[in-house]
Amino acid sequence: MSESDETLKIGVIAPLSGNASQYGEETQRILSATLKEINENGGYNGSNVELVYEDGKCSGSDAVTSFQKLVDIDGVDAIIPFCSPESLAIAPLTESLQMLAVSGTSSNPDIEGASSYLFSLSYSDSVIGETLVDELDKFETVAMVTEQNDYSMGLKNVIEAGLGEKVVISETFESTTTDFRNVIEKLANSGAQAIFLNPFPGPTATNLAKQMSEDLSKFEDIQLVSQIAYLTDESRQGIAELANGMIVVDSPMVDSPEANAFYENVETNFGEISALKGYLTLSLSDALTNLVAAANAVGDDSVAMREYLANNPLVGRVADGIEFDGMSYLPGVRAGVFQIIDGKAVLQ
Amino acid sequence: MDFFLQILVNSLVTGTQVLLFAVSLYLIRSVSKIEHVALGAIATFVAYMFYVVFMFSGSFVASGIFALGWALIFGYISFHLLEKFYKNNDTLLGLLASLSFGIALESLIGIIFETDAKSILDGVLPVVDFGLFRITTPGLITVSMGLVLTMIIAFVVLRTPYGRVLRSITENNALVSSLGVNAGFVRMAIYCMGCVLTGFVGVMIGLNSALTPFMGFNLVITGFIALFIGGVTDIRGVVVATYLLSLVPEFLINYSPRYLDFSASHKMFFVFVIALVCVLAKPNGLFSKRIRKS
Amino acid sequence: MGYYFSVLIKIFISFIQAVGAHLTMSQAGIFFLAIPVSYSFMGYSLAILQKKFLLGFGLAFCGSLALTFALGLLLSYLYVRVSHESFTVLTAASIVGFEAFLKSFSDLTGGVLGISGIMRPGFMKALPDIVLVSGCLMLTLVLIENLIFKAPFGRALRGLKESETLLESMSISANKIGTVVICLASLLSGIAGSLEALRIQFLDPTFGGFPNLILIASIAILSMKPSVRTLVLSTLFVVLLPEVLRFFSFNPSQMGHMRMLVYSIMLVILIRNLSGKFTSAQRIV
Repeated sequence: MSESDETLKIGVIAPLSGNASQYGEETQRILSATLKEINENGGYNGSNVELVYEDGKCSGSDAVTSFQKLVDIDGVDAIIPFCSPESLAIAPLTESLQMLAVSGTSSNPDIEGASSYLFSLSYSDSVIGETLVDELDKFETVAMVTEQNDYSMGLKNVIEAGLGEKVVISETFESTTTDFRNVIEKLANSGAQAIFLNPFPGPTATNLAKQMSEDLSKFEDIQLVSQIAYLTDESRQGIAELANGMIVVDSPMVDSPEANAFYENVETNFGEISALKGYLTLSLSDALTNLVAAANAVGDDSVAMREYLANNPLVGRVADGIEFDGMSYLPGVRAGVFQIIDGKAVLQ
Repeated sequence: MDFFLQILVNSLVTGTQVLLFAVSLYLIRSVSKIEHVALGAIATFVAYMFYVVFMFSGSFVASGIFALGWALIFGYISFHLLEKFYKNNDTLLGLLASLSFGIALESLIGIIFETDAKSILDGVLPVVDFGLFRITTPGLITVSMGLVLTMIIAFVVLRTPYGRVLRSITENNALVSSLGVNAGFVRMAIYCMGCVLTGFVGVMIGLNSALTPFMGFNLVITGFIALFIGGVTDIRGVVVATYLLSLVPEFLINYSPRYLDFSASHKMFFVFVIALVCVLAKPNGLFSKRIRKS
Repeated sequence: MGYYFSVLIKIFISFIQAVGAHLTMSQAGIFFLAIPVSYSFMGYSLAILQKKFLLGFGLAFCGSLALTFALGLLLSYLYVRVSHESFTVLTAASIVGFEAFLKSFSDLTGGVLGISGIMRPGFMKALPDIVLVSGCLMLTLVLIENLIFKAPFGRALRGLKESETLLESMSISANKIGTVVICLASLLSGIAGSLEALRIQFLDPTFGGFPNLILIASIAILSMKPSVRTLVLSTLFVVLLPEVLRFFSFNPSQMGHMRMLVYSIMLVILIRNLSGKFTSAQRIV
């Protein structure tokens, strides 16, 4: 651990290369916008806060090496990991080295209790999963299509456990897939009353929906259900007809004026965000905000910062006023059920 | 019946994409004994060049010409990169150099264009409805042009003097040169042709679905496998092997009993299993004959 | 210090794996590209035996070693049965096939979520212990490989690359030599994989794969000569190169791509320079 010094350094482990690198690039934009806000408001005790990025490639092995480089060479005071595999891989290290790690985006349920020094401001997959189970349970037969990433697969497992035999088809596809036509044909032919679309938010989701829109007649009598992937207006561009009537389950706190102002700030000054737009933009921003707030309160000692965050209310756009209450995940995050009506996501 | 035909047509589109990779690999291997696996990355780069011009001009012709130019440039670069390995008979080094070159290209694409998927055509693609099945316009072009090009190449390779020259170059380069054939020029032309073919595939993939920096990799690997299963010196085998590797996994996935839970993510696993079975049954290629070794 | 220990462990583990590639690809001329599969296979076997079957470390390690040996035997059967080119293709295909297997059969392997919390044995609790174990293994292999090069087996390997027919005419079974060296490469790669799994205590399908093949094949190709010193130097160069690039302050959003770009360009240049220097001499008549 570093002794108190003038600069607060925060390490970020994100996928800067490889298949998931778009998320790493958007992470950098969101954190840069947040960093600018923080430094303009006094930073860390009057000095600037610094971010040091390392490429975790969404892989456990690279995340561990990145973590060790950040701690040993760069001397960071805290870490922000992105993907669940990165968070899970560094969990034992955060415990043994007493290095605080706060993720804004990791959501695998295994993170709960993995380390007393690892927290996540994202919602656990089980929160959204349980609400999705409630929605999908209204139908006799359900088909699912899931992208092979930690987030979507986590949701898939919760839903399959909850629905059991009601799931007639559960298709999975690799993250690098761009042609979904056979998958779509299989779903449409399954006889399911509802189809759960489970790609990771971003271009994959848009691509899947566009290809489904090539023959809308296949889905006329089928209820489409999804998660954050189709919540934002941008994610539904060009697929208005398909999306109309779609049920989307995600956290409800994404459309406030404050949130919209922040999205605009990021996109105007730092670049487009599409895959992470919504709750994850804000939770990622809040991860950095809370680390700086903790350092300002108790200094840059990781153990003290950890104690502060674990025992005090948090700050930020989504975490404001909430306490961890002995958990690793942010408690009290409820899933909101939206329906797409005339191109707008309307909270039910 | 509709379901079967639709799956068949969709699989034919992806299979034809792989076929053009396999044919390009076959051609280049025919003249240099090197498997130029960087063709996947080259196809991706050429497609991105098409995308850039199309975004500015909206013209398919202008974009096509620009992309063609880049494909020829990459053909030239590939020839000069790998010629040394051919001359020194270092085929494994050539494979490794090609793989590294491909990774470098993919990284460059990631730096210039970033990694989010790009769509060349906005909105839903135009679809041609044949009643029992539907196919997108880019998909139809891919299948028709791909099959025509493959048939032309197969005819040239198997039935014309040019094809005989091609097949002779790796057998005995010195003898072919002594007959007045500029073997080096032929090799460069083949590299350029291979890059143009794969560039065409890259553009078609971009039009039919989306562009990502790593989109060529799985396709070129499948093409690479098809090349060897089909028989490295037999283009008919390459064609059959390509469609075997593309169609069989799709039908296994879509027609398997529910309790087996096969899905699209199992595809590459099935490709490997089919490759294993084919190679064990026909070690020298699908249409190979048993030969007596003295 | 943790970072430096990790880098040291990476060097030792890469060397252990590279010995197998060196013996197969560089010396015997066998294009055995399934090295990452053995690497990943033994790591996963160890983790599954420990976490799902609740075996102790000793039993789990022995079990995974036995399974990896069986994998090596299966691969060597393929080597004997099919042509060399087909063997190359099959082993390359096995990398994608195995990755697809890991992602899809998630009940056993954890799928894309992987397996976390892999327990280290008592004598390897901390990183310095892993450095010690892997370092000792590396030193042992340095000695063994040196002996192999000087022994009839080493000469038989080089003979296999030069001319299989000639080797057979000297009553040395090419198939037997090939089988032994493939099984050995599988085992060494597997041991390296299990050490890495114990270091990071986490496994997911990205473990191994083509990046691992490129790393190990680069080391093997750069050390074409039957020389342990060259192998050690190649390992140091290839493993340390991406670590050195970490210290260049590239634009964060392009950092990962820049590293891969520089790394791959340097590899292309190196490989081009090496071409023709280590192939067998040709007499021009």
